[in-house]
Amino acid sequence: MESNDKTFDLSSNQRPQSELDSDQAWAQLTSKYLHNLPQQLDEIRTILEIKDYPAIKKCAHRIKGTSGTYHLETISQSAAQLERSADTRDPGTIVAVINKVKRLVEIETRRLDSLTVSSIDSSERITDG
Amino acid sequence: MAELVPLILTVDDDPDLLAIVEHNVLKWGYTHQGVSSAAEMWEQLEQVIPSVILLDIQLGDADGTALVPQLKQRFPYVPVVIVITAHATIETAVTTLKDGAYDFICKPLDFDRLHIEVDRAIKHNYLSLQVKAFQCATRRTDFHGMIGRSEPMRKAYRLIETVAPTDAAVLILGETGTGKELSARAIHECSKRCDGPFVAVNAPAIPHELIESALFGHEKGAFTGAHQRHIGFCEQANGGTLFLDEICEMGYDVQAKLLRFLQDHVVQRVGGKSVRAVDVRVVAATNHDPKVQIQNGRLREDFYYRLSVVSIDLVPLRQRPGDIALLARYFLDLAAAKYGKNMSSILPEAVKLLNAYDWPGNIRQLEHLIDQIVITNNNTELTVEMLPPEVIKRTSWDSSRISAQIDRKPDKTVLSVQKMEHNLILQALELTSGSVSEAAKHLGLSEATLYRKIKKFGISRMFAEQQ
Repeated sequence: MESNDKTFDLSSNQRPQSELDSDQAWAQLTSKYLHNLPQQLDEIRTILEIKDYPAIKKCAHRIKGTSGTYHLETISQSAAQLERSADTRDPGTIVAVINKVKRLVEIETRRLDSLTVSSIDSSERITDG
Repeated sequence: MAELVPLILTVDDDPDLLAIVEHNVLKWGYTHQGVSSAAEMWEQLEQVIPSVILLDIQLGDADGTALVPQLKQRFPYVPVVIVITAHATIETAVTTLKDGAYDFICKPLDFDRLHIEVDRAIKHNYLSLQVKAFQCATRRTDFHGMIGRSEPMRKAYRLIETVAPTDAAVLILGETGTGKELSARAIHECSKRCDGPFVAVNAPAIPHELIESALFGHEKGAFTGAHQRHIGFCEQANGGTLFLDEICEMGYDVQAKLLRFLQDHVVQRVGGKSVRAVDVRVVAATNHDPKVQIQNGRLREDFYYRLSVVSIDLVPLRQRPGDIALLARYFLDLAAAKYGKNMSSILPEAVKLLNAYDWPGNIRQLEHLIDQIVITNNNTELTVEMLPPEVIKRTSWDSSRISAQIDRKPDKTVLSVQKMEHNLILQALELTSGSVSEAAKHLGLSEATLYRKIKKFGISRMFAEQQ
């Protein structure tokens, strides 16, 4: 039951699953997941309109687990916050956390894109050299 | 099982999670199937039996904890269930473990740990199947691999135990597939020769012109093609038991040479000049009536008498219907373990039909049929629909036909004693769905007496009527 404190950071050498550094398939899957997330957050916002807090909690819970599995730790932590907000039934906090998660998704997407580009650049340099 | 690539079935309603699990599982060298609901899981389990199920505790259409006991009931030993839960309390985890879950792992998933868990579960699954197969091969066998608790089989076991310690020649009689070789092995295993070799010779499989050389061996250059010395079966069996199957298929001349061997216990290789003493116990078998074969000139009378110091009669399967269900369940367990399937029971209606069929190919036919059913079906129960048409239609005794033969006169009409006896036999057969041994018990008659009476009254067989 211990917490998973691994972070998804392609630039770090400290990741225990080091083999994943060079795993393009993993990066592609993560990119796809980040691409899908805003739609899931919009669904939560729709559910909030009918005040179905258990459904919000379930969605937030799912994002927490899956984003953590993709090593998107900051998103996973915010999703946990969203899950707790559903318990308190505070619409203002829920909207704020949704927006926060959306911003994190954008940041992670940009970071992943830049790492992918730099990875391609370096592989091209190796080929040129 | 060892040759198959393990299949991991993941049940989770988040397609993004299924994608990342699949990515890792394939990387580990396994195959993967992802489903997003309990309904899809059950549907999938009709098609394939996975090695491990990764089950999310919170599904859209079901509670994962409630699925664990259902899975364990339907797939008691083959699939190993790991419950994945991000929100579970220790109590929930303990409950699922008590219900039969193999282990639990938490979200966010740590794929290094999951890999270890999946590997362990696959090994556990494989070992469970091995243990099951071993149990089938040992615990369920009644007598040295021979299955059956009917009186004719018990009589055969007793005779084998009595005759085995002696060195007397034994002749085993029985139709094809009744277990003649298994009986010969039992004699060998119960004898003082059990540590010696058991050499089985299937006469029809050896070309007639080679049988003498196969039995007694030959020296190099004894005939064209004899490029090197060959030790024959009789010598190979030295210190053990020589089993001669289908002796009526051996030529008269070979029978004469074997007779000499039985008398003198010496062999002379083809092309050899010297004789060699061998210490061999001979057990022979035939699926023909030896007396008829003697009359037909296919079996030497002196050879027969030499072999039949003791003879053991193995009755055909149709004459011991009480053993059919026992054998079918034994073969079912064996095949399920062998092919990694979950079929674990036979529905009563199917048992009834198996009991009623006359099994012309005896135990071997039953074994092959069960094997075939287990290979071609993924269900947990053997049902009537899986049985071939000949078993469903060509039952030896059919209740409706028997019913039609009963003379149901009005109460006041007096029937002859003979007619009443006829009717009683028919009613007993009707009551027991055509099982002669069961009907005999009801009537207080021996099975042999009932067969005689059935013949006397001309009670017809469904099989015969349908032809």
